[in-house]
Amino acid sequence: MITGGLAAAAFAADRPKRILGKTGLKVTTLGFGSMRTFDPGVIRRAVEMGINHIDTARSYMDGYNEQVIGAALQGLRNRVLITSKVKIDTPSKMKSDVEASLKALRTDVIDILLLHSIKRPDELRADEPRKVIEGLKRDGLIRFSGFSTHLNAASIVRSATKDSLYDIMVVAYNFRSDEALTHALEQAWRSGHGIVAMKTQAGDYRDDRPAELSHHQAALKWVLSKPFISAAIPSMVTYDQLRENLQVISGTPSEADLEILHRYDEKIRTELCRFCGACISTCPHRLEIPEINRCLMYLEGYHDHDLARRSADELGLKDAFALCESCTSCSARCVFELNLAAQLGRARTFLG
Amino acid sequence: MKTICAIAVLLNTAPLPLCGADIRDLVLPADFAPGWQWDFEPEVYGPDNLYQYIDGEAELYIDYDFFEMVTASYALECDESVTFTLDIYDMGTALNAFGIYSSYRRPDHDFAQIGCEATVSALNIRFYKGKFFIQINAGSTDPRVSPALLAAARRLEKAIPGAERPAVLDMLPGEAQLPHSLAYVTRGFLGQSRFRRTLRASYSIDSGTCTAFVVLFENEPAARTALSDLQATLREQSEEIETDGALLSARTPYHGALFCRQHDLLILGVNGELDDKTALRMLDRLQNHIEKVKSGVN
Repeated sequence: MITGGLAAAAFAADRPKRILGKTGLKVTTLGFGSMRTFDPGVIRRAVEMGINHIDTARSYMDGYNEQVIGAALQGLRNRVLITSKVKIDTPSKMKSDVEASLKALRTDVIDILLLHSIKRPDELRADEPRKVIEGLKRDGLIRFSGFSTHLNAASIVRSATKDSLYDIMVVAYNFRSDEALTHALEQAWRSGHGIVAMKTQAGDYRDDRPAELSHHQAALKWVLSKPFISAAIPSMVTYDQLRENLQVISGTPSEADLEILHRYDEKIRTELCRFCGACISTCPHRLEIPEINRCLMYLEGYHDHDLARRSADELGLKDAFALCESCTSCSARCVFELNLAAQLGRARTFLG
Repeated sequence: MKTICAIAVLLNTAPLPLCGADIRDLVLPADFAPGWQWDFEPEVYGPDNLYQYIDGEAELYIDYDFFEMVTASYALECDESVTFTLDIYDMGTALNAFGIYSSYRRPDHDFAQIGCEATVSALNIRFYKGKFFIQINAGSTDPRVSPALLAAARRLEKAIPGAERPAVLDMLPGEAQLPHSLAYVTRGFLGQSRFRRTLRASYSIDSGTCTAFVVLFENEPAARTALSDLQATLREQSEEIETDGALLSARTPYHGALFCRQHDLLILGVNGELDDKTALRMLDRLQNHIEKVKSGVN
């Protein structure tokens, strides 16, 4: 069995690092989000290029993702910090999940164990999961603990601030996150918690084409410009994505980056439907406008014409478009100020 | 042109309709089996909010062009702590349904003939049928759950349309293929951005096992560019590379020996611990097999 890694810092000397709160761990600002990574070569390459922490979870690919990482890190374990996640469940299930993680990762200690996907503050206060975490630390099977969260993040972060059980918080955070979350994270950081950002892209996650300066890079730079963020963990599946992200981490956002993000924000703010459905009642034909917008998103956001076409056909949008065209002007209104007339016009043009 | 048509026929990416029905219609009724009821009612998720249900794993489904899913949870009327969850994913095409299924499938799983194929355990059943991928997960280790999972799977199997195994899976030869090793990968095979639609499987060879793969492209220039990119990646990683234009071979620390050849709009490849002779024989075998499959289609 390979022991936990903390000599990692010595090998990542040429990559920027930050301290992860009171843990004292020095992590590269770019971590490796491995959820979609099937190829161990990309993981090994990332470590060779100086990334010193990898994020996975017990539930990813039903445990296979941890096996991929375990295989990839053979001979490299002492250069890398491993974060994995366990879902809140009965104590015996949580313990057996962590044991399975250790085995799959081929290590005798997980550096950081997170409670996976916390949705409510009360989950963090529940006795049994806390006792499990404390027991795992006592037994030396994990070194530090924390949680990950996507939803209600600001309230969850606030509730966990100053809770010494949660050394690290992994939170969906990007240039579109609101001030409440930014403030909560800053307070948590000031209280000594380590903050790691995930979901840094805030939009088109599927664009894995090689790029020069892309909005992906600008978005990543924006997150890493925040002093309370120790690291970001974007998903990386290909060598191109690894290269693109490594280009980012040595700099701070320039005026050009901010302009890219501003244009991107404008684009998605006025073109990205939130699927709330509030617009339906404003349309005289009560068209399923969110569904039409979804098809348009597949086309324009995901660049997937086949999926957009299939979806439009399955929804029977031809009839909807005929009704849409029968109006001389569009009275549908979006509470978030999306230009629905323009959206529907494009949908009719490209999917009609 | 013949190759393009033949590949297109095999891929058959035309959408499989749900006959105008809502995906919720596929959910088993609350009393699908005596003594069971809904724990919570069906909920539908799409690509924009699937992460609210399955967190970061949602990205994997989006990689396979996931369209929408419905989830429902069931509990025993007499003991509500005994539960299981049913997840039905519309993956848009039968190939993507197989793809996501294959990303979970391991050769050491137990298998059953449910739908096109299923992996089964006391606490989980996964299967695919038509364009749907189905997961049934026990929420309890109570012995009453396991028979309910199977009953649910059998009922769903009858309700879900579609039946054929995607024809394109036959592009890799069946002989000497290790059982249940075939997979369809839509992103980053070998870490390559351009290797977006790849079939791969493990094969038994004299020296052990190897992986054979076929990467599908829209046209020949795209295949050529992808092979060129692979060569550039290998050079950047200072791997030992040989190429004569048509064939690329390399010794890599991550994948062992790697041999790739462009064939029309495909890249054929083998990798593993194998010598040059065996690798070239495998490539020829792959190519001959694909030609046979194509002529069968034509």
